[in-house]
Amino acid sequence: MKKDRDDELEREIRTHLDLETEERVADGMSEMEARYAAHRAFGNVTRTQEDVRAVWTRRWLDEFVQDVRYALRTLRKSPAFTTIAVLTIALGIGANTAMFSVVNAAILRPLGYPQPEQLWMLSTGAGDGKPGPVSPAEYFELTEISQSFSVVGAFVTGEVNLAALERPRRAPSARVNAELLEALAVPPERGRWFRRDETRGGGPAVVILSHEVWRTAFGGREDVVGQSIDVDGIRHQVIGVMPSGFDLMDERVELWLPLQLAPAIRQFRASHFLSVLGRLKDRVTSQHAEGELASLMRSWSARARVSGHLFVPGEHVLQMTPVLDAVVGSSRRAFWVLQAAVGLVLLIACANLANLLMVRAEARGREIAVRAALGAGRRRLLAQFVAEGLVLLGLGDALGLTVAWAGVRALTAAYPESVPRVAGIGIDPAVLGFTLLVSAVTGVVFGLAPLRYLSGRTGRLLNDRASGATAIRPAMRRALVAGEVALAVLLVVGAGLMVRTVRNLMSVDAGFDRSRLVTFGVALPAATYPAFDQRVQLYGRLLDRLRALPGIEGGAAVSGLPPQREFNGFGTDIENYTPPPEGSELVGYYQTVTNSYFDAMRIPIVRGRAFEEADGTGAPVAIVNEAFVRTFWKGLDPIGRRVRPRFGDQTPWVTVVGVARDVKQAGIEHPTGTELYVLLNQIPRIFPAVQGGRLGSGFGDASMHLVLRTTLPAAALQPPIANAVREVDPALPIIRLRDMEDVFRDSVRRTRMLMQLLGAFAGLALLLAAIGTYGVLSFMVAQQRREIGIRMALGAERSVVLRAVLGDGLKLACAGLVAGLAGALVLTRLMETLLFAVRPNDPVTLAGVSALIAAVAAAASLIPAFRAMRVDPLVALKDE
Amino acid sequence: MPDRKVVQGTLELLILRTLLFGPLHGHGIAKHIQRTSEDVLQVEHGSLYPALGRLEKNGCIASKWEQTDRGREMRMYRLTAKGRKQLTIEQSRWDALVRAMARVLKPV
Repeated sequence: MKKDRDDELEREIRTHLDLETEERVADGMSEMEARYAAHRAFGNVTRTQEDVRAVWTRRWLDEFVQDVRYALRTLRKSPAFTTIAVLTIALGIGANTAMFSVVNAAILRPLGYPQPEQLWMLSTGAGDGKPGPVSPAEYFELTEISQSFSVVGAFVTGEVNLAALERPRRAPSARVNAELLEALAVPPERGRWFRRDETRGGGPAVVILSHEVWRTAFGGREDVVGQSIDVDGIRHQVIGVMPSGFDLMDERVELWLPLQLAPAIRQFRASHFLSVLGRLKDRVTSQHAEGELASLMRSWSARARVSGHLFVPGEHVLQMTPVLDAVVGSSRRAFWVLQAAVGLVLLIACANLANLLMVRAEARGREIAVRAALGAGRRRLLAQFVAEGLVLLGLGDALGLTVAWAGVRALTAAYPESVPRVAGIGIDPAVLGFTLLVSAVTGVVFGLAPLRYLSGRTGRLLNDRASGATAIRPAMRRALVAGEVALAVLLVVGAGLMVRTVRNLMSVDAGFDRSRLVTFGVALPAATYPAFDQRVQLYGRLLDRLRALPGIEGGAAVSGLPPQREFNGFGTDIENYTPPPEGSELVGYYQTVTNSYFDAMRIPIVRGRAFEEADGTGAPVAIVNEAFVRTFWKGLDPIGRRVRPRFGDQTPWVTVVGVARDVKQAGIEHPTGTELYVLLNQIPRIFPAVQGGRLGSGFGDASMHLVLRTTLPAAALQPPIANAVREVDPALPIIRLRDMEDVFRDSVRRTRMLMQLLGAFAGLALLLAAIGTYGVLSFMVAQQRREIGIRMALGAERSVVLRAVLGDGLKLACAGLVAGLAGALVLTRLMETLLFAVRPNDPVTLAGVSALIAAVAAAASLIPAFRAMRVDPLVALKDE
Repeated sequence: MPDRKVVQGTLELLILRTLLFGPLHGHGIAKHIQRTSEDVLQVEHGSLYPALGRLEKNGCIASKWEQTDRGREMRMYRLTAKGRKQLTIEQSRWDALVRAMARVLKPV
């Protein structure tokens, strides 16, 4: 149809011209003159055809399709350009989309609870924002006297042995009270929540399953409610199933067990192990709640009618944080830094593309001029450039999304523990919208360059013989490259600071010899080992067998594995120490060990003695760390002084017999807290109130870490250790067998992730900036071939030419470097909290970055420089 | 150049007016306009065709390929009923404009 109309129009115009020619011939013109005159009278045939076509067609769409086809054709003709351009876009957009997926899922996405802004985490702390657990007494008192919260719940997370249908396995679990489920306010998928009376001391053995356990262990059967399963060797009745994806903060929970706090536990005011979460009443603001909390703390003793272990400003306070903050915590800044880093990479990619397109526009300058002269409207030419840009963007976007998808998969696989809420990461509508926005901005940024180039140059282009003279002011292109270098410098400085940070962290002296140390955990189910003596005997038997293995030089058991363990602050009476008025005597870390611990870990005893075999049956003794002495017994001789954990009236005084060197417990980047070591065998004598029972995790005896000094790597020890454990109890799982080095690496995993990702982005930025430098210099050399040829013909040394081009490249790099370093001095301050033992303006890093940039610039300039040096004057001059 | 160009819209009026005397092909229309205006209105022949296209699309004129008496296949344009109505509207609008212009330019 359209084709017919085109043909008809052509025929119509032809006959028109014929008629006109005939008339003029009849007037006496020659045939040729007449035809020429007819054409002149008619005007531009091509434009007429286009105009008529425009009347009939849905013009925009039609032309657009045509332009896209044309763009595809021309792009196919220059595969190198197309490949580089599409890859650049894909990398820029892919990296940004992947990173934003993570940021979106981890930081921006609201938590999956109704009205999550009403949910607040309540924790204890010294007022420095570092959250610690709450003691049951504090929790109960808070629920009784606070008016701001509609409900306040408590929970403890952990792991249990789950036996249902399949073989037993460790399953992540949470002990929660009914109030917690009410606060989270997510109804169960089937069955019901715990009733409040079920989460009191002596409540029934009931369990709520996660959707996943219901599917796997019960095959999703309809009548699951009322069935029973074995948890830690005890039958539990299933009363409900929670919906899929329902987690507790950031913790995946497979089994929900009732937190059954006995009223008696309230006497241990200073035993902190609960996580507490409250839901604000409607219309109560967080400011109001915080105000109430502050006033409650001032009058806590009177209101709650208690004494001892009260809240002290700046030392031990209750604080509230939004639940999302508690989940995301310190990683927020790290992720925004990474997002900013990929944003810079994208900017560099844009600059590169703008350069590429300008070079291309120039190379095609004559073609465009010819087409303009043949009657193509300027608007059409611009439209074609836009179409080409859109095609490139489309291809880049498609590939970029693939890159993003792969990137997200790689990120979550590489850093499963470092990314909060890792399960929910995906490419969702918000992410897609972000990608489209980014690519639109990219299109505008790099699309503008060639458009600018086109305006009003066609005539000159056609006339100029020497195409070099028509080049866009090279200053603009050089500025773009210098800008790329500057952005790359920012990223490389950031990456350099992180490398220094990780190196500093890894070389921190943690207080013990971590080389050739292997560790794993064991957890004894209460059903199999109900009595304390049974548990102690099992650890003893296990250690005997392990120590007998070839390649093992020593071994011990410890409740909380350094360098990072849970804070288990515990109120303690300390002789010869007068706390500030109303102050607390909180020992930060209670550590339960076997007597060979200091020996196996090679922790020096700086005063007194280590535990001895004989202590097992002797009077209660303890060892404290240097921080303990500094805090409580400054200037006193600690040996022979006594301490007493506030754990009921029967708790005896414990004599300190030694001081151990400080060992990191709060993470290697944090100062060491006060620590009190007690001997595993003495636990029943020191804590008689929990006769036969279990202490909270972290200083209890139900689960311990074993540390083995060895000459072999962890992998080689796997089979013999598995054998040894099987010999003492075949049902006992080995938890996370690894080298102590791995434990260290793991404890700084988020920092390492930041370093690795920033490093990767910086590498990408360097590569792009190098390509940009190379491109500009190559182009300039190609443009100046004639000039170089003339100079050589006039006797210029080749080395002079080489130096000139190299110098040009280095000049660009220097300009970028100066700008980049200046920017880095400002921007890296935002990273200050992420760094360890290195200042943002660290001279070593800055010097290293400068050297690296210079080297990369030199490498990128070398090929164009050699090309310039090899210009043959004869050929160069003949070419023109 | 610009002084000889026929204002857009005016060209459509001229075409409609020309076709009032009977069907005609593009070249004929151009010639007619030129002749009757005593060569004052020099239509660039090419610009005729988009105008013809617009008129045909609006339904003011219709076209058909016909054999001329000299044995040539030509596309002949003729006025439709709608075109006639359009012509009277445009004509009166034009007359009003001319009268108005005359009043302004000729001081009483």
